[in-house]
Amino acid sequence: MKPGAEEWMLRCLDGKATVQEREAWEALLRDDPEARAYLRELAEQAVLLADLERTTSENFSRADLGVLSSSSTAQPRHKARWAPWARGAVAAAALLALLAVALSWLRTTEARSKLARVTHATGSRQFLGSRGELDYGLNPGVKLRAGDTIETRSCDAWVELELRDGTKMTIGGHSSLRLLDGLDGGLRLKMTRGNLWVSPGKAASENLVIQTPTLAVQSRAAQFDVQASGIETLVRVNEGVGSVARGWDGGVAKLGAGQQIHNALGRKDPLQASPQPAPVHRWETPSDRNSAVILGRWFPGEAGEAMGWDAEPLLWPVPDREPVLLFAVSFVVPGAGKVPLQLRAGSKLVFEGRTDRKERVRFGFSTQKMRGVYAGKFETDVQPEELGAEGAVWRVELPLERFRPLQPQLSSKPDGLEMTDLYALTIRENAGLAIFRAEVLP
Amino acid sequence: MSLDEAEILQVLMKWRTRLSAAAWTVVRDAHAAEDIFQNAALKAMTREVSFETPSALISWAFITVRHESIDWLRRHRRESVGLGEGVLEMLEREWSMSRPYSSGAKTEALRDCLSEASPTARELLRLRYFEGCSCEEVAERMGIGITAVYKRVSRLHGMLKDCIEGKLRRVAETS
Repeated sequence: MKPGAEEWMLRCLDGKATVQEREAWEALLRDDPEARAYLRELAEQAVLLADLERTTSENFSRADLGVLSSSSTAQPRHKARWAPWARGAVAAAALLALLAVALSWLRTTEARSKLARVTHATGSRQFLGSRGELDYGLNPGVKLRAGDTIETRSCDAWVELELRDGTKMTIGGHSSLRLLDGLDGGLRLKMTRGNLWVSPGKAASENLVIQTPTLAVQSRAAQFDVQASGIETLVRVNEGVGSVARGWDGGVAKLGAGQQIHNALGRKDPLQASPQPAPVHRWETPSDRNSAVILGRWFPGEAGEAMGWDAEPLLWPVPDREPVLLFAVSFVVPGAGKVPLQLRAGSKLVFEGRTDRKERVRFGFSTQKMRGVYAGKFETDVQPEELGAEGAVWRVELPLERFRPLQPQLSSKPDGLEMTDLYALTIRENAGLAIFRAEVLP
Repeated sequence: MSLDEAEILQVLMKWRTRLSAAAWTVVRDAHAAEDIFQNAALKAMTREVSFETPSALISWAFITVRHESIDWLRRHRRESVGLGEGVLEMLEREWSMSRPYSSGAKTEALRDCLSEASPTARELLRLRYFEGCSCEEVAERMGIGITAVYKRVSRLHGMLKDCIEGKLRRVAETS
């Protein structure tokens, strides 16, 4: 390729080239295999750079290191200034130096204990600090230490953390995560319920262990996701390698890219990874009362009415404002079989339910990329006039294109994505929302 | 026997970066390129005609990505870079013949290589490819001349290419 051709190509890709330059560029690509190879490399780098930026940020650990190095360089200056003084002053200097060392040690310990930082947060969430603090404003920038617990309380909540080695962790709605410790070059966390997605950071130097009620998941530099409840856990590895261990029998299994493990309390069969199943495009609420529900009070069908779930109240404290009260029903997807549910352009969400008072109902769902990272939430509001008379059973069919992305920077539209949960809620007013059935149709 | 959904997904995930790169060449927007790849993957799994071999699937995917990308330009009223379909077809044929590195391995290598670049260089690449700024916008935001931006971006791509290739070669030798 001619010298300077690379810059010329960049100008053409920017749309800044003249017609003649574009024609010349086309001719170059037609005739020169080196130019074609360069364009391929450039395009691949462009895609990967954007991908990497989406999943990684390098600033946190560097900023912390910066604080430490500046504090350690301060000590010799103190010593040099005090050293020439008389005997008493020397003793004072020694004492000061000792204090400086102690301060430095304290700072080091403090910095080490900061295991993660909140980079994004939305929806109702709370922070339970290891020192007894309770804070509903878990905002970006908050640093987390061993012993801290974060909880996402509402369906539409999510929190993104950056771990100290740059690894990105996204926590979905109705999740609870506690940072246990960061010892021996590793990081241990306990997840009692919910969903989380992990994308490894730069060189992913740390061993990451996530304990759920039924499994311990271990990885280094793997991209994986975990769904956990008090009785079961699903782990899916999309890139890299991970392993899981089961407490009661000491069973251990390795997972490679594209594999998953599902374990439930009481399962006696050997722990074994299996290929992630091909996605399905249809889903409905299961007929048993508990297996899919995250939030909602089950009621049996009476007088010819179907069984269903009443919305549960959920208080969302908002700093400096009146708290918001939500009434929500929420289901986990996938249900039994742990087969991923993939949305298509023509998919529809169908809800059958009832509201005792005229009130707007918000419907939504969470997604992830197929075999990939968290991809955001999508919501739509249905006005009371679309639902019909108060107290009557309604059925709404919501085409996918009606849902708007809450985080368009993660994904602008839901088709092609995997659904991980769906929900219906009313805000502020208890409208007596009940959901009898929810369905996703291809 | 034709490929089943799991096999289709496996092949497409392996070619994800290359196919997204083909889309990027047309739309010059990394986020749109990712969406276009997702759409193509969705179509591959739901279309009525089956794929007998991975290479048939890949040929189809490159064509679909091209059509989707051109559609995307029309829908968003963006100007094309001016590459005719003949050249795009030629690129596809060539790009589909050389086996891609796995997206994961190349991403890891890129991550390492980026850590060796200066913060200014990383910011420049972030603005250009994540924020989707043109080189002119990058120049304005960073307070440097447009010619300097073209030179730096081009030099950075060269540096990253050499660095990535070196790292992938070393990984291949040791495995």
